[in-house]
Amino acid sequence: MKLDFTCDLAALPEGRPARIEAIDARDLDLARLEVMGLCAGRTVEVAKGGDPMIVRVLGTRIGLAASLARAIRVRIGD
Amino acid sequence: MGPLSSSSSLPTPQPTATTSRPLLALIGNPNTGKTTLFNRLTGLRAKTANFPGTTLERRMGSLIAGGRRVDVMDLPGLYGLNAGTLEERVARDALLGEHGHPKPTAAVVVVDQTHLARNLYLVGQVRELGVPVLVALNMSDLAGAEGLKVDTATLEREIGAPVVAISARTGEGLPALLEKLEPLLGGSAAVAPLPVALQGGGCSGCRGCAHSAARFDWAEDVASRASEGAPHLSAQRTAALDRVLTHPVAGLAAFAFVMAALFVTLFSLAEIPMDAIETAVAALGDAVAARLPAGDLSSFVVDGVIGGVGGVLVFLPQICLLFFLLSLLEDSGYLARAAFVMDRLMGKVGLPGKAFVPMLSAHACAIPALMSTRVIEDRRDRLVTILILPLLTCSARLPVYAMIAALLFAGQPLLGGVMFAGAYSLGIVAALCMAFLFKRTLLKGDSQPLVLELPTYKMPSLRDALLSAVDRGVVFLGKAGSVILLISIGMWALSTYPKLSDAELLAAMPAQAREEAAAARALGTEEAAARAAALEGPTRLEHAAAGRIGKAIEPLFAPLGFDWRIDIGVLSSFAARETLVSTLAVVFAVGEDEVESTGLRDALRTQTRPDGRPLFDTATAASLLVFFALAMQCLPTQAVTRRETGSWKFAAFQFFYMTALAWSAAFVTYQTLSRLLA
Ligand SMILES: Nc1nc2c(ncn2[C@@H]2O[C@H](COP(=O)(O)OP(=O)(O)OP(=O)(O)O)[C@@H](O)[C@H]2O)c(=O)[nH]1
Ligand SMILES: [Mg+2]
Repeated sequence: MKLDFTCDLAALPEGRPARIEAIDARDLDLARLEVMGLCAGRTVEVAKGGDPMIVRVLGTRIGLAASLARAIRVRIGD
Repeated sequence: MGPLSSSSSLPTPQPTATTSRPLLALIGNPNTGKTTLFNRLTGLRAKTANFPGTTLERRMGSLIAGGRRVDVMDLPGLYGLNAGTLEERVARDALLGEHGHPKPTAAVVVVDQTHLARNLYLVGQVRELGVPVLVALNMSDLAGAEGLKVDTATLEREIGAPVVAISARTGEGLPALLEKLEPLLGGSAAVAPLPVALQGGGCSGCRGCAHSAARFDWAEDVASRASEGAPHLSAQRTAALDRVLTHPVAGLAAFAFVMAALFVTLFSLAEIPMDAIETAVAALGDAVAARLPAGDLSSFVVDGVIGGVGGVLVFLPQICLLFFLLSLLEDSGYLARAAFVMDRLMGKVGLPGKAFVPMLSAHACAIPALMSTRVIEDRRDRLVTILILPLLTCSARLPVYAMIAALLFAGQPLLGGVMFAGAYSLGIVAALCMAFLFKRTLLKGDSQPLVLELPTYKMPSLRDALLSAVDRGVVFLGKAGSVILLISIGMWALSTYPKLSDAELLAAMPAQAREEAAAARALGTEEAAARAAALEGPTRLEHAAAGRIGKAIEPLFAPLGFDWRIDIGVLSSFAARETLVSTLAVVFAVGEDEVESTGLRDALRTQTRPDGRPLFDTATAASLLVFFALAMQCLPTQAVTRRETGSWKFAAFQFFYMTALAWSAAFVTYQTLSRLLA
């Protein structure tokens, strides 16, 4: 079965890599996310759900408030 | 998470001392080992440069490369040069030599090779700036243990700059680093053209643009081509530890345990050197007093200078130990997890999770706690934390609480304990309420939602922790030390001058004290002379500047149940809280060295008001307790608030809001209790 749909990062199941499509947040938060590698085009994975949650991007674990994760749209493809 | 050496405020431009020497800037992501490398390279020559009036500390040091002395500058860690945050802007300015910074001859980008892709993003940005750069691939020892291979030749080709694999911890690869560094330090090194993938951006100053994505693409591409394997071992260990330490319930329990352990260690270990220092200072004071003729000079040296410096030294072990322990905790990677689990709870009052660590250490002393607020990135969050920290029960309040407990609950240790617990809780509740209030009024804004790197767990380095402790000790002695010394001298002068002549003194003394003093003097023994001096003390004090001020401010504190004598104590305690006890001892004509005995307590209990009621009734004692729990009475803390916020404005505001809060709460306490108990 081919999976291809978008959801927000907070709804992404643990352990499934997805690609960031777009982020809708305030400028300041955008900048803070961007330098951590959370910006369009990167591949992320949820390491541990909840609020705050832990995501993996560029080989690093990042603690992330769920409110911000909800602002990040990701695409699960194959 | 950045170390305590990073901060988020603008530095005062530091002019180059010696423009002829090459300057090397160490830059890199947080936690990549810049400071470790810095300490290695500069060895014992490393010194902490603490620029006045700023909160940013750049460490400066020097090393010898190819027979030439080179200045080295350690910058705070950062993820990118997008100029989104103040820190990024500062580092960018420092790299480009703008806004008064000396322009570095070359930059060393310190890269954690176990997180290559993430680190290459910053490497790309530094390359775009056009500064001669060398990439130090740090953590070779970790990579080796994990079977991770990074090909430096590929990296050199892709980045267009020399690359050297090193381990800052073991020292491996440092000679090769110095060798490759040498050609860059001539000031005329040709910079290789920019990698194609990074060209066409030309906008490293803007954010959210497509170029940033291109830079990440480049970083991931280069990293995957240059490295083989991945750090599975440490990743697995980290994931396993995080399952417990970031768990919503188990994580909080672990946090409580770690913090309690920190607290207990801090108090119990610091106690020993603190006692030793106190004893040594007292012995020195006695020795000097015995050698100097009695009089103003002796009093000045013993009470003002030795007492003042001693007051600072007593806090030194706590400060060094706190920073030693925090450095260990931070090195291990745990502190980021503590902030992670506290984030939601603290969010309820509008503070970020990171504020919890300083709030905890404020229970020992507000000064190191203020310094450790540097881990909070958001300026408003950091300011609110700074404003509320002195409300937490620091150790300087304990002597005051002990005195009041003895007054209120003599012989009832259980009730005394309840009173102590109540006073601690009052501090915590007041701090949280005020934080809530400030975040909704003055420093409005949601607390920033968490975005925090959770670094791989590591074995902490004892060497670095020791260096951090020594560093902080030196900073503390230099800064707060000079301030506290001035204050002690000032307080001494105020309570000594203007002096009454012998005739005026006799005329001003109450008849009974005058006769007793005369009788004591007639005895001629040293002990009797001391007794006479103690009897003259209150009158001298009443007519010295401090006494006159006490009389003048009496109306201000009368609604709280304090009379002018308590007011002098309260006033003197605005320099440092503990002085209340010794000042009251002097005021009530009990020898200073009898404070711990029942002498002071009995004396306090038997004091009466002009109308014959006891001075320290329950309502007054409770009101005094509430006042001391909430008032801002520590000038060194104020000086550090000024330094950390960069302006007297916040120190003044902190003083006025806390004192107003203390006055109002003490007023309500006194008025309610005195009516209830009447
Ligand atoms: N195993 C290993 N650990 C290292 C090495 N270099 C640094 N570390 C450790 O990595 C952690 C971070 O080192 P620091 O020197 O504080 O890093 P920094 O780059 O100054 O960090 P910031 O100031 O936060 O940007 C510490 O725990 C160091 O002991 C290394 O070569 N090998
Ligand atoms: Mg550092």
